[in-house]
Amino acid sequence: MWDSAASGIPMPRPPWSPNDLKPLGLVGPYCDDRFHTAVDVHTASLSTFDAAARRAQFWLHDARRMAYWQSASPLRLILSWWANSVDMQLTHAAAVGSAGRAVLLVGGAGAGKSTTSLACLAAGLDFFGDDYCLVAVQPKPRVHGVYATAKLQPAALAMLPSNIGTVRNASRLRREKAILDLPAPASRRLADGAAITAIVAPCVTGRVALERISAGASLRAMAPSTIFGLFGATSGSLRRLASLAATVPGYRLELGADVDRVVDAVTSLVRAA
Amino acid sequence: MTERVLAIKVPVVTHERLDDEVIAINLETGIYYALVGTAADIWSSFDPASTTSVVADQLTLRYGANASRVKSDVEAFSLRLEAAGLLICSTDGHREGAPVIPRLAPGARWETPQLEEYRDMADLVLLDPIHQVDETGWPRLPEPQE
Repeated sequence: MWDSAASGIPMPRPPWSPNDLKPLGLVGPYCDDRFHTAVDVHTASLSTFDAAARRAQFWLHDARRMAYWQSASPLRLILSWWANSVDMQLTHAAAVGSAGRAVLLVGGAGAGKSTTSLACLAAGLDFFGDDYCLVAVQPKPRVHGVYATAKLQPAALAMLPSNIGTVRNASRLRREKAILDLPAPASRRLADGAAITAIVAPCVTGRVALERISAGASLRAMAPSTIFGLFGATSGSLRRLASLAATVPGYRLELGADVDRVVDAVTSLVRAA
Repeated sequence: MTERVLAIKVPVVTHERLDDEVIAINLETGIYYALVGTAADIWSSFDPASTTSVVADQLTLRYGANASRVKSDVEAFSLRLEAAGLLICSTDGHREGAPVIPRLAPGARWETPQLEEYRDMADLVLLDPIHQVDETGWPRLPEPQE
């Protein structure tokens, strides 16, 4: 893992043609069941992973100019490819819980995953992530935390206690989401993981309400942002997510300004089953 | 004239079925689709590759429906799936195996299939990586924000 600016080591010309780059950034001739290679034009970085040798490489021009979202959840593609190699799935989801049980909060950007999960953390629930979590479907659905950070709209900071975390980029909140470094108690909860009791698709409607949704609707809320956010992921990714949606009940959670009721709704699902 | 054999455009299209709903994701366009009920059954009938006549015959039997209506719906819907880049004309012909379609729910009736289209992820693939690299072949460094 290196950057050219700090190391002074330039990157040699790529051995592929620009025409080999697929729409999402995968490098066609350097991707198969074993090797994964992607050029991320959004962050000007290269990720590679050799599933057989379990070796990864990550390069970018200049780490000081790393995109803020990349610094909050670094090495995402590599972790995703590694997870797939051990039949797990890095999933675009927040996760909160207690007593070894957790719910996944799924959906695209702006659905309310971060604010809901941080409100739950502030209320005393365990926090496993607000954006990307590691999910195992077999033998039983289980979620693990990966990143001890959270990203949220600066305006949402006012809804949370000031001691919930340290804002890493306080001077740049006019153009970036706030990146919160979470304190040690939350970080310690990352590794152990928890059994997944529900998949919850939040959406902001102005009132708090909870309703069951079909497994298909659950998958539709969870899969597209995961698949596209991970450059198409790998061939087994959608199958894993479908298996999860078929196994765990799904809900639609309408979000309103009454944060306590939102936390109560999530807590009820953690305890259900 | 030999009837065209149509197949799901893998690996560009990734898809899964849960009960009576299919999700199909086109990784090239960033558009994803939900297909429910009869639409899901038509989709599953093209996995493995098949012709619209064979699919229409199978689904006419499955639903006990009017054969000409099912044939007309299957032909129109498969054209729409082709236009969306989800089905392609297969050069391999028929493939081994039979479609895996769940048992029909009691009371289910043939209805005109619908293709629900979602474009909220399409922005992610609109950036063209080919034109985002510099003369060294690597992505251009983003301009400083300040």
